Amino acid sequence: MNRIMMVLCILIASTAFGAEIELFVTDYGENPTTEQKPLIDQPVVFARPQEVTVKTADGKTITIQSPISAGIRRELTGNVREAKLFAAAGEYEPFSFLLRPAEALSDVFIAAGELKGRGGALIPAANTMVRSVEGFHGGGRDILTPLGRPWNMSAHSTEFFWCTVKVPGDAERGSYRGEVIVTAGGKSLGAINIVLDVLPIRLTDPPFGLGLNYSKPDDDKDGSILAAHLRDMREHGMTCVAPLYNWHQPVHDNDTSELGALLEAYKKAGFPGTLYWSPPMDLQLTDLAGYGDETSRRWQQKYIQVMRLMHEEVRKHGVPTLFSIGDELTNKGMEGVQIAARLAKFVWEELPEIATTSDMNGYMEVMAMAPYLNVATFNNGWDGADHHNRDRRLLNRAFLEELRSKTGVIPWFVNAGSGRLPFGFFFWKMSKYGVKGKVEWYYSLRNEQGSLVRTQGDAVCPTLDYERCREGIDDLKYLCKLESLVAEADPGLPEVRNARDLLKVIADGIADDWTLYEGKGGLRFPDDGFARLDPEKVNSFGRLNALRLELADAIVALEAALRK
Amino acid sequence: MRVKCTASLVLLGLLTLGAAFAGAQKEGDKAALATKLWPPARVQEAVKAVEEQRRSGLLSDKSYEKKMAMLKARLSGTYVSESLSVMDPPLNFIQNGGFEKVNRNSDKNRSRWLWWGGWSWGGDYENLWEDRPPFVHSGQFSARIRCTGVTGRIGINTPPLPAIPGATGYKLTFWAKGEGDNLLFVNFEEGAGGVLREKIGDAWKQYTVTGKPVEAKKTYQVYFYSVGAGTIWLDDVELVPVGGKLDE
Repeated sequence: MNRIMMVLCILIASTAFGAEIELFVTDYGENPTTEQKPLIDQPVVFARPQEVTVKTADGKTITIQSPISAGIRRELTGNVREAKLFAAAGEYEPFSFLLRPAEALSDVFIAAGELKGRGGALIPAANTMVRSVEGFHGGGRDILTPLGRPWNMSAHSTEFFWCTVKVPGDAERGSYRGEVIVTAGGKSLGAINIVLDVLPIRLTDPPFGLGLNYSKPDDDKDGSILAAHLRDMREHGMTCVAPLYNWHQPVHDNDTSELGALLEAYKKAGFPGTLYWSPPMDLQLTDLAGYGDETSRRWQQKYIQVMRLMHEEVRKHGVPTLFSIGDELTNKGMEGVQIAARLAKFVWEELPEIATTSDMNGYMEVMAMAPYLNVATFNNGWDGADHHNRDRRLLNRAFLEELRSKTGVIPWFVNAGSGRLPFGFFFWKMSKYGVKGKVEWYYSLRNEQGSLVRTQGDAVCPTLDYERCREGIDDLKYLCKLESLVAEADPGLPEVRNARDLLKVIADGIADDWTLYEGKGGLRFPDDGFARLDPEKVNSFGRLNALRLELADAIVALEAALRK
Repeated sequence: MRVKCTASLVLLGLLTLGAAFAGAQKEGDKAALATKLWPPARVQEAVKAVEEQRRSGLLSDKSYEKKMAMLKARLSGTYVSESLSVMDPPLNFIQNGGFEKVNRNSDKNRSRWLWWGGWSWGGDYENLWEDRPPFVHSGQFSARIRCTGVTGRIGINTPPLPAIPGATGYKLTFWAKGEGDNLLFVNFEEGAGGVLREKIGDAWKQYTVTGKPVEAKKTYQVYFYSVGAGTIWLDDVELVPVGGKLDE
């Protein structure tokens, strides 16, 4: 046995959580790696302490004045195999865990049992779904697949799992306990204990359009695949859908039946928000080729005919619908900005009965189109190949305020980030500056790069990022719930004051500029030392869930006060 | 001298009168088109739709006021659309046939031009907008397709173009110039058939290919492939139907 192997064996043997397997709850916000540590093994970080004094192992005392931060990793005190969860009735709540055997195992399987509450309350085992993390496009774009049949594991191999508990809509409040048991050859090797607190609150859809671009599914003769996909999006908290590719437009015929069927399926799936109908952007790009450009009579008359046919179909179904008329015209430089301006004005003048938006990706394009659109939908913007935008970024407070004051348009985001923060706390902060919706790229793009799920017929395997989008929307639900309670309560109540303080501290802690969070921005939320982050709760629940728990506690307290 | 001056003044006067007449004609055409597009019932329906947009949270108060003012002006017959066009450019189903509108945010083995698609089926090629005057037939740019290594096939294509009821053919003309051991392959696809496969010489020359419509097809496309070595420049592509009635 070489030296490295010996060290590894000592590490495994010395763990307090099992001699044969490593099994522990991880932070589901992290993409799985073999280096992952247990969730409870997070360093406690103190931001900008005045002074840190350390007594070293050999007895020396070192004092450091005003460090940027100080992180302390302690001896593990909690149970690394315990998943502590809290959720409202009807909510989906996940956790993730890692399994690594010290020796080869045969016929490994993992099964969840029922969750038992007080007084015989039960959440059936079927509501706890364990799925394996499998390769797809890497990182957050790896997928969760059903476990299928038992499998073999070689020694020291690592597998990652994602477990989602669906709390029934009629679940009794209170604490529930259960297990996810790991077996090999039918013999138990260990278990993750689930401790779930079902909260006495109900969450509702946030009052925003939140959706994904979506292509018409192939070979969907009876509409069952469409229905399954829409149901899945709805279960992931989406309030709208943004159909984009492969949908029929009545350019070479008058057939709008496919749009009609989509609208009916959309209603049936229970989407409360605006349908974001994107195919019209192709009328400008390609679909009206042969009719001249947007300044010619033939093109304009054909465009009006096609748009009015689709609008007529939309009217029959009573679904509020936005028609997206342009696609990132900044990519075409100043020429694109001029096309954008002409197109938006023409549609505003000749088709005012249609609510319009455009998918935009540059400052000048947005400012040219926005005066003539109902909704301006944009990403963080880029310069354009000819640098006409002079480095202006758009997902920030300054631009939102300028846009609204100069044009009166309603802002939405497009391709402004998938995952938890962009759909959750950051979106909520931007809603303070008038943002009403967010459309993200892409549900399933023929399973290619960029897809948030992998589909095969009506079967859907979500990516990690897709699951995190749902958590972001759940964060938004908690935030909106607390805000609505505050709005209706007596401002003199101490619970209201506390809630206001909490919301303010959270809002103040979120940067007003997405550029600081994305890419090399490097900022994270909640950042180290954020005032409302209790290090103990962070270790039990993770950073964002610790903050969500603060919100949940405030909601429970305020509802109790309102009942008095 | 005086006679020349008088003649010039008369000519100028006639030109001014002609321009004024054309302008008035255009305004008259626009008013007639607007009347056709905007019967009072449509304006009333649009007013209801705009009110619904506001109720649904899809229109700010400021935008609502602006749209309603426009619709009220339409009702009173005083609104003049600034966008509505009564002019058509000369008929040419190829848009950006002169390759003047380039897309700088594009890959070398894809289309670099607005309204054109592009794809590579293997081989080493690059597409680029060409601005050296000897290699431009007219305007500022031509399209350059250059083989940089192994031969294969690269192509640029039109989007699906509308079939014209009653047309007996689609006449495609273009100017091309070549260099090296090139081979151009022009092909009507999907709803029409017609082929040209030719080595392109080193002087600008106009080529013609006629596509024959395939019955019952609503659209067709035209592809320009480079399948040889060397370089091909294309410019001033035009496509017009032979016979038939345009969709108005």
